[in-house]
Amino acid sequence: MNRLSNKVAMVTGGANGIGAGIVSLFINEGAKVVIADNNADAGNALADSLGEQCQYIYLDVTEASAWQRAMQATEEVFGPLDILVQSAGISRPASIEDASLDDWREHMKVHGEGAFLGCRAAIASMKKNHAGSIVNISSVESIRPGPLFTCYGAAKAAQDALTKTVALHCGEMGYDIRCNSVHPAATYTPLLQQYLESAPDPKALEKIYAGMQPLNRIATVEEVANSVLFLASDESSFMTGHQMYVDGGVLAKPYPSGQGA
Amino acid sequence: MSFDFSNKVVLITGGASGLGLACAQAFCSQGAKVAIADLSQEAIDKAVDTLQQLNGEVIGLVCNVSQANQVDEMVTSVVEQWGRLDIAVNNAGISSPLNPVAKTQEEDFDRVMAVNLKGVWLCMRAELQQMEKQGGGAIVNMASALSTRVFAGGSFYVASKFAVAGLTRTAAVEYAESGIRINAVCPGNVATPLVVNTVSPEMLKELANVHAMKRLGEPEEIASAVMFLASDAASFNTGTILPVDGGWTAQ
Repeated sequence: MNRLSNKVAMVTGGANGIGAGIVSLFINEGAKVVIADNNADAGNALADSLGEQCQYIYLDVTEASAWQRAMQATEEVFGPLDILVQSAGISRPASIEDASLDDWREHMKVHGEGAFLGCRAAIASMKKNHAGSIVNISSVESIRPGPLFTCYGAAKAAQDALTKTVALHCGEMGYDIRCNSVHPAATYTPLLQQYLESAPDPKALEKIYAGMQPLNRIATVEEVANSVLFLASDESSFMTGHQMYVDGGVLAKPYPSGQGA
Repeated sequence: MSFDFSNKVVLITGGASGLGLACAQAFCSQGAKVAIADLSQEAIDKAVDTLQQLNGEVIGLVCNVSQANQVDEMVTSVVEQWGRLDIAVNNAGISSPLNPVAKTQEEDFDRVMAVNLKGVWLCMRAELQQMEKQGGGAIVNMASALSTRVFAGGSFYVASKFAVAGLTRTAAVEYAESGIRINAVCPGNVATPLVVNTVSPEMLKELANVHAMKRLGEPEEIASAVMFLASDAASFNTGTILPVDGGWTAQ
């Protein structure tokens, strides 16, 4: 498998969950991958398990100086960036009545400012190779947010607007740099599994989550990673500014019912 | 592109030229058995020749997709040949003469809708009946950037492609639990041989400039999106309309 051979990729939030799945898939497809994450233990452990083509570099996505350092370190180790996947994120579901202003600001900071800084840093590096692909991990909640996704839905919608403006700008400037977003529905990450297990009746909650999708199941991390790979690779060379749903059909059907979906 | 379609049976309408032929070439090169359907036997023979040079296992079928009996026979022929139908690419389509709505003609409406909308519906109906029997499959409809944007003067084409998007999404929800995924690809302006050979250089530049990427798409770029959606890598993607348009509809 060599769909990304010789490509240099950075995956933020790459130490866990969807990000970690993307890192593993990219390594399998021949890329050199930097795990950029604020969790050094998990990041180092994953990088060690994947061999020399994979490196961990510390990154807090909300800090401009951390981006600069991470990008510089990436270029020193592997060369200029070809692919940036922004998968770092937080999610604390709460209604407008329960969410605090700090919740709101934190979501905006990670998803909004984080993606802004990431796109800016990536473009600067990608221009050195005159090409690149940015994939921002968004969510179905940015398109059709449920009532508990006050902060998360708004922050992802902000990130979506950034994805499009970056795509249009790079087109206008004649850079061969593409920028798209991937919008998963509920996905089997360790975080979701924990959340399900913490419920009084995990099976019942899982059924509700699965039932939101017409496919009547929850996505695997690999399914989300496969779409990210397609957008990151040259296979999607004429796609930019697109919001790609990996949602089991949920956005094709009317608003799903119940349970804070 | 490295999706493995070994032993997969693929049907492509409008497969003798343009985007359909590009899709057929892509699937053939990844080991699929490919049936191409088109209007003219002559065009089919030529395309089958081209595909056989890729060592493809190919059959050609004459079919007017706006005729129910011909469409049903087409799907029957594929199943008789290879026993099943795994992937259908409903690509056959025609353009409409450019006129503002007050100056449009009834026969143009009927002609465009017969191929672009009724044709896709008839094909999906026959394909879904077969895929339900075998317990799964993937359908990719060729929609258009004009499934979500409009083009003044092209009302019939635009309306037909909006309708294809609606048909795609509805069927996707209906068949989600039958193991059948249904998606559409929405190309922007593509440098097919027909376009390159018949359109003036000035007009080609105009067509390119509607895209944020300021160039025309290549047929292979559309084919790779079709292949992605048809492949098992897209096992959680259904009911989506996927633009391959250099950022046109992001604007």
